[in-house]
This record gives sequence, C-alpha cells and structure tokens, in this order.
Amino acid sequence: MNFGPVQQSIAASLASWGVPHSGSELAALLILLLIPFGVAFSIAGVAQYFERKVSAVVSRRFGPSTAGGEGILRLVVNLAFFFLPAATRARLEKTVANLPGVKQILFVVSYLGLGQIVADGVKMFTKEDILPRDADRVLFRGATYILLLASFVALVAMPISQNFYLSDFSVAALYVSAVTGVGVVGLLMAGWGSNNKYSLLGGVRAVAQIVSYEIPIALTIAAVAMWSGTLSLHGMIAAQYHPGFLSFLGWNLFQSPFFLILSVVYYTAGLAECNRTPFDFSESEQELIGGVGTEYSGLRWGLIFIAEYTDMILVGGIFASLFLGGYQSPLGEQWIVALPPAWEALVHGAIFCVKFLASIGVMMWLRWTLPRFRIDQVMRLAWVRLIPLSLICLFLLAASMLWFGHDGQVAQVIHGRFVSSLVVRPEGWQTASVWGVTILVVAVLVVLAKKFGDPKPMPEDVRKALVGGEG
Amino acid sequence: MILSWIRELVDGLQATYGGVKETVGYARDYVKGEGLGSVVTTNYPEVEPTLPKGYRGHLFNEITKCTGCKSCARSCPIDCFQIETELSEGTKLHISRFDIDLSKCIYCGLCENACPHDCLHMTTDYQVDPKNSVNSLGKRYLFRRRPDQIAEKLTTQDMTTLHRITAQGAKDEADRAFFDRIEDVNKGKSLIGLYGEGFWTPEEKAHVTAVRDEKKRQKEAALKAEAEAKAMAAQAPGAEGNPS
Repeated sequence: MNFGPVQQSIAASLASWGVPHSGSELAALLILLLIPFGVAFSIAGVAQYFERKVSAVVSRRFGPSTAGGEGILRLVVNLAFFFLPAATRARLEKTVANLPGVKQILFVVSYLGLGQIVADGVKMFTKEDILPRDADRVLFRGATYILLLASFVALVAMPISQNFYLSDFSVAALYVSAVTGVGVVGLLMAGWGSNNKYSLLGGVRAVAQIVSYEIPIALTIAAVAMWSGTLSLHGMIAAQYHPGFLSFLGWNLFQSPFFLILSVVYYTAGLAECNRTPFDFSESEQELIGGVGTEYSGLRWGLIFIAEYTDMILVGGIFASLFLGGYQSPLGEQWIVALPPAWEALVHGAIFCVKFLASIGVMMWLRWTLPRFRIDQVMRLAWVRLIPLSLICLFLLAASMLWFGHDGQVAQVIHGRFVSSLVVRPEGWQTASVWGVTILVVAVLVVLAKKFGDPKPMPEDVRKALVGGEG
Repeated sequence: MILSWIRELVDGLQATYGGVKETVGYARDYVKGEGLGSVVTTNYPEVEPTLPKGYRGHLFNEITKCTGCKSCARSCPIDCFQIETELSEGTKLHISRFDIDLSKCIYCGLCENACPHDCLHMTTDYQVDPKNSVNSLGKRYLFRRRPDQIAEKLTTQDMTTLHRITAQGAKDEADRAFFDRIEDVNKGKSLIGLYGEGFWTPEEKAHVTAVRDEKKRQKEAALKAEAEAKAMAAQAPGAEGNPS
C-alpha cells in the first residue's frame, strides 16, 4: 500500500531527528492518521452547529442563539488559571469581561450561539453512560464500536488531495461501499442488544433500507468505474482532469447526461445510507422515540452520532470524487498542480472540503424540506425506481462508450500520476450530440408521461390503513 | 406502463423541487430580513417579546383600595387566594394577609372580573424566579406588611410612591433611594411582603404553623378515637351474636 509522499516526508524528518527507520515509518503513519480523524471529529461538532443554523435559516428561526459567550469565557478563564483561588479567578473573569472589545466579541459569540458546540461537547462527555437492565452487554457496547469503525475505516480511502492522502489502493470505491455496509451489523446489534422494541424496530428498518440502497450505489460506482476504467478513487479523479481554464468541463457530471441522472440516484441513495431525514427510519423520533439510539446515553450516544456525521462526510466525499472532480478546482486546475506538494495538498484539500461540505449542506437543507416517507414508499423508491433507472443509465452509458470507440488499456499519465486505464475522452461533438439527443428524448418522454401516464394510485392496503377500515 | 413509471419519477422530482424552492424562499427572507416575518422566533432573553393585547400575567393587588371582601377568593376556581382580615382600631377592617399562590394560579382572570373595587389587576409580568425574584428593583415586592410590624408610619404620599414602585418597579435613582430609606427606617425589614410570604415574619409564620399543626393533630386524634370507638361498637355485638 502506498501512503503518499507526505507520509514519506514526515518519516524522513522524524528519521533526521534520530528516530530509527522502522519506527519513523510507523510514527509518521500514526501522525497522518490522526489528522483526518481529528478533522472528522471536529467536523461532526461543527456540522451539528451548522445543522441547527441551516435548519433555522431554512425554517425562519434564530436557531442556537444565546448559548453563552460568558460561559465560554468562564470556562476558558477557569481552565487557564486553575491554580489560582476561586475568588481571584472570579475577579479575573470580571476584569477580562470588562476589557475593551471583549463585550462585543462575547455578544457576537452568544448571538451566533457558538457556545452550543462547546456546550454539546461538554454535555456529551459528562453524561452518565447507562447500560439498561437485561440489555445484551456485548452487543450493546460492541455496536457503537462497529458503527464508528465502519465509518472511520472507510475514511481511509478519502482522496483528500493529490499529494496528501492516507492510502491509495486500486479498489478504493469497492472498499468504501463494502466497509460502510458493515455499519448495518452495528445498527442491528444496537437494536437487538438494547432489549427495547423501539430499538429493534429501528434496527430492522435500517437494515432493510441500507441493504436496498446499497444496490443503486454499487451500480453508480460501477458506471463511473466503467467510464474511467479504474476502481481507485484517485484514478477516477485523475480521469476527470481537464487541462483548459474551464476545468469543470472534465467532471463526470458534465461529461455525459447519464452521469447527471446517476448523480441524482447516488445522492438519494447516499441520503438513505446515512439515515438522513427523508429516509431516517432507523430513528424516526415520532414513532420510535430514538430508534436504535433510544437506550444509548452520554458518550456512547455521541459515538453513534459522530458515526452518522462521518457517514455524511463519506457520502459527500465519494459524491465529490465520482461526479464533481474530487479535489480539482472548477476553474483552472493546472496552476494548482504546479505548486509545491505541501501547498498543493492545502489548496486541493480546501477545495475537497468545500465540495463535501456543500453536499452536506444540501443534505441538511433537504432534511428540513422533505417529510419522512412511509416504509413502503422507501422500498418502492429503491427497488422500483432507482435500481431500474441506474441500470438503464448504466447500459446507455456503455452504449455511448461503444460509439465513442475506445477499447483496450490505455496507459497514460494524467495529473502527474500514472493511470493505467481505459480513459474515455470523447470528441466535443460526440459529447454534445449525446447530451442533445438525451435531453430531447427525456423531454419528449416527460411530455408524453405527463399527458398519458397515470399517477400511481396508493396501494389498497396502505390506503385502508391511512383512511381507516372501509374509507 | 413505462410512461406511468416516468410520470412517477417526474412527479417526485417536481414535488422535491417545489419543496426546495419553498425553503430557499424562507432562507432568502431570513437573509434579507424581509418577507412574511423574516424570523418568526424572537431572541428571547435579549429581546422582550411583544405581548398581545389583554395578556394575562401575574396578579397585582392595589392594597390601598382593597376592602378585603374576598370576592376574588370566592371566584377563584382553584383556591389560590389566602386572605385574612381583622378589625383594626375597633372599627376598620384591616387586611392582615393577602397571598396569592402563583404556583397554583391558572391566570384565568375570573378574580379580576369579580373584584368590585377594581383593585386586583392582571399585569403583563410573566417571568419570576420563585427563589430570587429579581427585577429592575432587585427584588419583587407585592404586598404591604401589617402596620404594627413597621417601625415608622408612612404618609399618604409615601404610600402612593410605594404603590407605584411595587406596580412598575423602580424607575430611577430617586425610587431606589426612597426604597432604601424605608428599609433603613424599618431596621432592614422589608416593608412589603414577598411573594407567598404574606404579612408574617418567619417567627410568626413558625408560630402559626405550629398552632395549626397542633390543631390538625388534635383533630386527627379525635377522629381516630371516634373511629376506634365505632369499630369497638361494631365488634361488640358481633362477639355477642355468636354464642355457639
């Protein structure tokens, strides 16, 4: 496995300080591992803040607005000067609060509710970890670790930038979808181990849902892999490289109309994979209290929560890698590639962060827009709509690739990186004609469907259940 | 059939688009600060909420006007009034206690309607910390103490000022100074009772509670004795009626 030049340089600098060679390699890897995990943990906190703020904006509320500026000041002063007696600390606190400018800062902090992040963290870490009576200890406790592990292990394959990444292996896309599937086991363990009917219902629902939505995700990944000829996420990103100033034209999203449809499919399925709101059946709070998380408290609940947010980061990151050109800049990519490795990593990392944070933002937005589906609707959406749709797109994409006429391995160097793949590079007129024909056909089909298609009536049993008896 | 399938997809996308458009409109309103009430919630502790007209908050009794007729207590559906009156100076009915248990009050406003002298009002106050009732005055005072508990007798002018302060809180330094003077003259004793404390000092309260408890205990003992006697009476014929 390749751990990238950054790890090599850290190892080299460690070795220059006198660390033996074998140890320095390992230590460099550990340091490297700490960075994304720290980023993921802090993103979970920040994402939660933004979840509240975005939902507040979208539903015209203030959101977290007064969680304390003064509280933070008190915490900071007390922690920093813990050796002083309490009275002195109180006086010091007052002095600091009366410094010019501090009051304004405190007002802004408390107006924005930034203290909420700290307050949530402290609350989570200090609450009691309750093990319910008659719960299955091993399953109950193990579930959190498996959930967290399934999310974090997949994070290893995140293509953060060209020179800074944790690992680059040839089956990264397959690996990510396989490893996140393990999270299902954690959910089921949590549901069964809690000895609570609501938890169990939540767990079973989550399993049914996630197993169903794995299929459209796998088909989407297959389509992108077919297009770029590799399963490596780095390879997929490299294949989206476009040398001109309008480098976003090279992104898969704009390369083929089928990718546009597939991106919608992937995003929907990814939303279901994260158990986010239109599909949050594992913790539908109006029906199941907290679903699988009902019996969890304190830090253990926090771990489930962090796993959920890490899943969101993962889906956002994979979405960006598959369709939005990964870490590549939308306008003018060449100058970033020419930068020295550390700077390149920084710029590319920032672009990647912006991309997956934007997709997380859309997830939050959708959460406050769409109501939860019924369970039969969720299953129908997966099996009757998304899977056929992604299959059709896959076949049409393959057909268009046949027309573009590429066959055989093309070994080439893209983006300063060796990509051994069948890279599709259709001519401009070919792409344009595929777009034109597809848009025309889709438009005709939509018009026809609107005119002649019958809207699907509600299933008889569901209607009876809703209306009640004979209705 | 295929057209129905496409129709479903298109309808779903359309519905999603409609919802997303709606929420974007909300976000736009929020950012611009216009539209149908850009933010529907208020930043409560910093910004005072605008109360609707006729808001029913805490009760306030103008004790100078009150005659102690107990109309309010009779009209109260949950008995949260505790009013005691006594004859002072032989002829005048003096209100020795006027307590409203705010933890019981349901703010129905019936007492306000029942009051014949228009001295019981519902104010627009809605926030009180029962342990430490802080307002602009520092504390929230509601009811006067009994004249014999006060060292210095107040003039009518003083009473008016006091009344205003109790109703509205201290407006300026002069009000505070006035309040401090009254407190000072009365040896640190508050001139006016706190919520729920009524006219009694703690010692008096303890005494009254002890007397009440004693009476209650006696009553209970009497009841118990009576019940025992009855039981004995019931047992006695039973014992006689079973000679075999």
